Amino acid sequence: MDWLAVFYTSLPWAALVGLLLYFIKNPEKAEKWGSIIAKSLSFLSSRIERFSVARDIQSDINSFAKKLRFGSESSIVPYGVRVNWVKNMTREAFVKDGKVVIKMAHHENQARNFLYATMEWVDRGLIPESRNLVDKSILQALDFAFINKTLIESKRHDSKQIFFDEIFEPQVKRGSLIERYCSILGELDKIGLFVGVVLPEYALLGRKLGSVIPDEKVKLETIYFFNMLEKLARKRHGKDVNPNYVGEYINCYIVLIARTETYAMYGLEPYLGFINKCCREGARSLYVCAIGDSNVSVVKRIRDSYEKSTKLSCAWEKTQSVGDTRSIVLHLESRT
Amino acid sequence: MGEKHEIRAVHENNLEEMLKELGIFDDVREGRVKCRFCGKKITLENLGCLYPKNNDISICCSDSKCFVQAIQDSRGA
Repeated sequence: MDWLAVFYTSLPWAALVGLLLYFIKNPEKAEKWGSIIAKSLSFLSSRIERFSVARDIQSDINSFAKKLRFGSESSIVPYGVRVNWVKNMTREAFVKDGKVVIKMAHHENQARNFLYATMEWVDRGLIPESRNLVDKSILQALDFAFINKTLIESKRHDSKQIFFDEIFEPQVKRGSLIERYCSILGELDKIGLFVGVVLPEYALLGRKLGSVIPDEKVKLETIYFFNMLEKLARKRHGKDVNPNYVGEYINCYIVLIARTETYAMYGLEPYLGFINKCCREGARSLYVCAIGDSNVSVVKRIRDSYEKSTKLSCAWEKTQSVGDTRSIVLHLESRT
Repeated sequence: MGEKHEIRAVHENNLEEMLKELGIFDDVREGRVKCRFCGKKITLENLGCLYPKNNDISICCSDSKCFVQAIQDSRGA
């Protein structure tokens, strides 16, 4: 009887400790709950109102950013966000500080607050090490596609509406290069390659080149690489395209696992044979991609077979929901 | 998540206070400040963002197109 009483008294404490540990592990969830509570109390003081506006923005952006830090891949969006309220600042300090100060409205107008915060974050935080290396039009399209994805994943449909009505449509002319690039990125996103291949590969470029002063040759390669991605995005079922790009700065091989019957008939051999052939040709970065449950499990088997490989290492794998199904991208890197 | 990008913001309730601190409140109130991009007269209601540029303070209106230009201009693009 006594131990039962102890059990019942310690239950709320155990739940509290569990909740605390959960919030420590997922700070963006704590931010979200903080914002929900603060929002309901925001009529009490302007401090609580500011807290509510800031935490609401931070939690959604940070949750999305966390999803993009998979395995060793953290250079797509290395930073989360923190909204810092400015109240008192001298002119000298403002000029020296060098930062944009956004006017944010009450939480009733949070759609615009969220959009502007997202745009500022993307402009500074998306593939930061590569921004000066990527062709300007491609970079603009990457930014637009990424802003759109952030708004969709955060379920900010009101912000998305403002983005399309006031920014995307007035700026991107019909038939323009940026519109074409955005449409390609949209197609690639439907099969999980925008987050799984395009962004990691452009991010990798900055990590590889580091402090190199960007020249036209690097920018041209980012265009040629994109042209290869376009062929992949426009690929029709049953028609093969060469999904590899071998340049001086970008070296990227894409292995598509699309036909379940190949695995059923021949097992992993054709895939492993193709990957090994790519290695012999000098592949440094390989992305094994699949869509649909059965193809996803083939990729996992490929991953397992390279676990002890001396040639390739599994850098990371990323599973995403795409439409009604899921996709996977396995990134293999040459050990040499 | 470790490092955070700081987004600086001023709540509309504190805008007047901040502009006074920066010494530009009277200019805004008297309609002497224009949006750097579209040239529209800036008021407390339509102010979108502020940022330093060439040792001065640049202001843009709340129009989204101007905001896009402002964040690019602020990093010297």
